[in-house]
Amino acid sequence: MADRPGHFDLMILLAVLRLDDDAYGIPISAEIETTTGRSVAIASVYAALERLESKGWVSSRVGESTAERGGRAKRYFRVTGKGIRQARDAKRALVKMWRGIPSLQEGTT
Amino acid sequence: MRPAFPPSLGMKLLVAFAPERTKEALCGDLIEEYRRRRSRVWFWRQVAVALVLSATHEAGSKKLYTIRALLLGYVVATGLCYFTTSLVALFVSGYKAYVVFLPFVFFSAAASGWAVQRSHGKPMVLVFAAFCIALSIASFAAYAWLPIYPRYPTAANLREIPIPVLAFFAASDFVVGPIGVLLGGLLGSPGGNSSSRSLVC
Repeated sequence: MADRPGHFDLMILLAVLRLDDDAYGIPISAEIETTTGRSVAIASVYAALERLESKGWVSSRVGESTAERGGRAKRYFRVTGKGIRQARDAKRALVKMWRGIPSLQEGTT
Repeated sequence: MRPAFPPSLGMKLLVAFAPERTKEALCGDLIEEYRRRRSRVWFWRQVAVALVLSATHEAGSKKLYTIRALLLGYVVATGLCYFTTSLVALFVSGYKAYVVFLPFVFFSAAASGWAVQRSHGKPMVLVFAAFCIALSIASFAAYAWLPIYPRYPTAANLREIPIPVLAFFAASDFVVGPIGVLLGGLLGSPGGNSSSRSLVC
């Protein structure tokens, strides 16, 4: 069976895509929090990103270190072509599942 | 921007036990966010999540290695604890003996953390500390529901164990023991001191 992104992995992939060049721990966590209203620990974000990187869905590079960060470098992430395909496939599968369920249509309770 | 640095113990724990590949970025993010707007409670919550995730990942990816580390830590901790507290019990009696026991419990826990760190590496210390807490929860649950407390044959369950004894076990199992294991693991880490120093400068 093909490896598919889980719910949290998908949120991370989408947050990294939305942030484009500024995708590192804090903005990714903040993006998920603002969009979904769900608070996410930064360590959970890194754990998920490490998993996604091992699958080849994201790549990372070490960025600049600043005094504001106690001299620690940032790690920026980017979604790879494989990751984008995974996100598209996940959306397609979800939309297919959504169709034809009356209780999930807009305007119904 | 807040001028203060986050609690140094939390940073030391992260430097010692967070996953190698992401620890620098994670520490930097926590410092940046803490100085910008976050509270100590937020910071400690982040540290706790990072440590739990690191322990879970480590234990899940190396099962046999983990079992070996846990066995070693358990044997060292219980052996030393039994030996030192039995020795103390020869000289001190009554409830005050439990107060004297606490430093020896701490020493035994720290020695076991150090032994696990030296033989199996830093991440396993974290797994061992988590194991100690899980074991304590299981023991307390067993004492609470089962009539199995040999030193107090009349005690039917946890509610009948004298309060000072109960307080000693709670303090040693949930506070002194796990902290001792982690600090022992920190002491045993050759690179821990230099990297954590750079965080507070």
